[in-house]
Amino acid sequence: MNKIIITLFLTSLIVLSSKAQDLKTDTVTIKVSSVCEMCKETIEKALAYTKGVKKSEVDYENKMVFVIYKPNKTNPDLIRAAIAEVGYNADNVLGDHEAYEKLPKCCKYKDATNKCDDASKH
Amino acid sequence: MQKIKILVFILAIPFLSMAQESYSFNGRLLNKVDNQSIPNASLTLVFQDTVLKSSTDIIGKFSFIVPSSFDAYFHLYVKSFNLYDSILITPNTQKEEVTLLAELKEISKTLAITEINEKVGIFKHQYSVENMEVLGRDEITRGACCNLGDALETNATIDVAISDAVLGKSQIQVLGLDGIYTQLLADNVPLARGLISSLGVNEIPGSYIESIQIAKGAGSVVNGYESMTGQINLTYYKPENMPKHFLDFFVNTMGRTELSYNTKIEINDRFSTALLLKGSQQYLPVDMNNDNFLDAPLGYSFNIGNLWEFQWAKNIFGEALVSFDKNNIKGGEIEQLFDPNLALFDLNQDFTKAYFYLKTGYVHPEKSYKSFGVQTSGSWFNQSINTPFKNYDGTQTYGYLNTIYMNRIANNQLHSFKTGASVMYDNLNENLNEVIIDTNITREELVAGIYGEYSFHNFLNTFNFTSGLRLDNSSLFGWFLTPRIHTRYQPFKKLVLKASVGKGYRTPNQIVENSAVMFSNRTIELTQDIQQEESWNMGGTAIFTLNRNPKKSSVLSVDYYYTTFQNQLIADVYQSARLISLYYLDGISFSHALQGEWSYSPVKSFNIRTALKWYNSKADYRNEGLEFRPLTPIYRGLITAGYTTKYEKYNFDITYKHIGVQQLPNTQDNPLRYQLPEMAEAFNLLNFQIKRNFKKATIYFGVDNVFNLQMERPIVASDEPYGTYFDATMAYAPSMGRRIFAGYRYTIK
Repeated sequence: MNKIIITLFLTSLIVLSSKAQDLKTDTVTIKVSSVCEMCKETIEKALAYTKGVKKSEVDYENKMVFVIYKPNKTNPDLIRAAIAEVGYNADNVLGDHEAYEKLPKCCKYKDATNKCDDASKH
Repeated sequence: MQKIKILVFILAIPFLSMAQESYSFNGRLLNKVDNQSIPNASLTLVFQDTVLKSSTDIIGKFSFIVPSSFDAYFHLYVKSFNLYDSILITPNTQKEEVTLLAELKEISKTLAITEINEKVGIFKHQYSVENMEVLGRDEITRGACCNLGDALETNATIDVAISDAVLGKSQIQVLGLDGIYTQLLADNVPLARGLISSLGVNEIPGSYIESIQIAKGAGSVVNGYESMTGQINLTYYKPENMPKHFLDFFVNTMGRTELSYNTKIEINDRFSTALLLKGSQQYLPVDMNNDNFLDAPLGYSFNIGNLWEFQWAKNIFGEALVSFDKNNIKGGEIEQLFDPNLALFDLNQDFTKAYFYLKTGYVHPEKSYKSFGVQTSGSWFNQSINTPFKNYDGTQTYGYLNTIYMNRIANNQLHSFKTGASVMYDNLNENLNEVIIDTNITREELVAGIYGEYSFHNFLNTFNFTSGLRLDNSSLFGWFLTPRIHTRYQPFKKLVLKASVGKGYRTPNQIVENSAVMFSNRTIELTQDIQQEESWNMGGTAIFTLNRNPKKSSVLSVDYYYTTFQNQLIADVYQSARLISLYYLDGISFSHALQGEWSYSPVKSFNIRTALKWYNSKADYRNEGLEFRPLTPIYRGLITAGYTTKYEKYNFDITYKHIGVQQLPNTQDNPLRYQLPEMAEAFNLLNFQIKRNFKKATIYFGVDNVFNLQMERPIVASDEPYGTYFDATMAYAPSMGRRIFAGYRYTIK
């Protein structure tokens, strides 16, 4: 019984790892409404769990995210939708309202009094 | 306003002269009540481990001058609430609006910690006056599945043992003593009392629990007099901070299948409810040690919980829980091997429990430290255990009412008090039919009491003192006093010292708390009338925080506790192998417990915790004199380590336990083949778990008892269950060998 399960587990690992070897990638740069380090973490983590995304890097000062993805698994529209799902605007896709409400206060980019992004002036 | 400005200015001076650059860190401190943010005025805020201090103004605004070299998480501490939050301070998080993590409606919380981050595994509470450890959701799911007993497997404070080799239930031990001396609370209301105090941890689903707070030593008098060695408080999932849907499916190679589902409904602004469901089934008859007895009993269990949060009016809040638990399992022989004329030797356990609690509280709209709360709870419980020789039936009805009034003394924030009155009613009946004797115990007890607790902390919160006293009257035992004192002293920022002393009482449940009565062919000998158990507990801890940056922490702690009984029900299994003799202490009974623990996290993604424990737990037995308590290991060791990859995609956990030598009950009267050594050998257990997180789902896989360690003969005379030598209560080590498990969790936030 135990041996069967170990074998099944190992086989599944091999299958999964062989599937992951897909070398063709594309890149896209999306404008996002991120304002601070915490937003960067939220967006990068969300993209890490999005199908087909290999790597992402948020530059919150310039409000940009740079994404490396596999074109046979996803496309820029799906990536924008994934960013919007956690509450941020991605190019012309507006952030999900419910998710926005749950963002930490310093990430509330719609709040005009939030001076999070011009911190360096102090 | 003027005063605050001056304060900021004074504080700013050393920084401006010391550091080249500094910036101001501003924010507002708000209380989130009913989706409204209420500012907190005139509160003092301190960043732990720094000299940074600020006060809030009328709209809750505060301002800190921070050196620009700060770039880390700090604990922002709000003194008058004894609450804190971890906040990232960098020059980029200038304007942070801080919402207090705890809500004012949690007034009945006597254990000071409130909500903790889901990602926090385990941590020693530095600010609470009690020696408290907090287990977060990550820690609860570290063990293999599914009930409270499993969730407590990986921490150092609580030891999990096996009650018997037939039903294989978990039983906890704290400070070298049985778990019955530790009070179990759910949301600060007594949970598993009386007839279920010994096996209660098996019937509480892990999926109900958001966090666990374990306080060692005498607890607060607010929750009663029953906490003799400590308190375990379970914070159940509340609609407000639980996911919309949560599903967990677990299966292992023994054929144990568990399914949990939680959901919530927000009815309107005032009412919200959570539905908590769990079902469990064991369908595979497994016998890994070939003793013809099932290693895990067959059967099912299910649990239904319905939790409510509500707001009656402005500043009047409430919480309620209704739960129902049912369990029907059957252990024993797999087939009739020896004498075809005899029926299968099987043991049935049937368990039904209905429970509720209701808490309401009023908080003064401006003076949040002033509040009044009422807690009520009640339960009905029945358990029957049937074996071919013995039939046990236990029923308990229980009701509880407690009131808590909290305020400051003379409006001084350094002095505060809690006071109130409580009533507890127990009606229980234990019935044991043996071949020759029938034992029937009926007990009706009404305990009414009043209490007061005074707390002091100095201005910098480096010294805390709590002293409590309660006076109760029991309809069986008359008047009794419960004094308790806790102190905390922080001589310098990296060292916290805590000490406590306190008295505890308990009414023993003479049959059910001694599994040897039911799961062996020993005869019960009970000659004395019921007496109240009484103990003193004293001890303390030193916590050295070598490094408290959450990304790179190192905490070392040493604990020592001494418990001494003035009266205790002794279950004597040393006199003879034919007898379990129950009598009240004549002589001394004590437990010394020493524990050293080091938790270290060199990088955020890796942590390791090492603990060593030594117990000297002895009692005077009638014929033998002073002896170690049976089946209580003299020393224990624990190492747990966890590693997560980036974004927590993969998560690896490993737990290693060393269980030292332990004294076994008497088997000297048995034939040689049914004898066990006086001391059981030490052994090691190892388990690991791998988790893979997806966007909404988690797949987990692990192995329990990797070394495949199992007792050769967990049941004495398993080949002659109808004979006089049969005894299933010698299970000092697992009767189940290596088990592989896998599971799937799905969460919609």
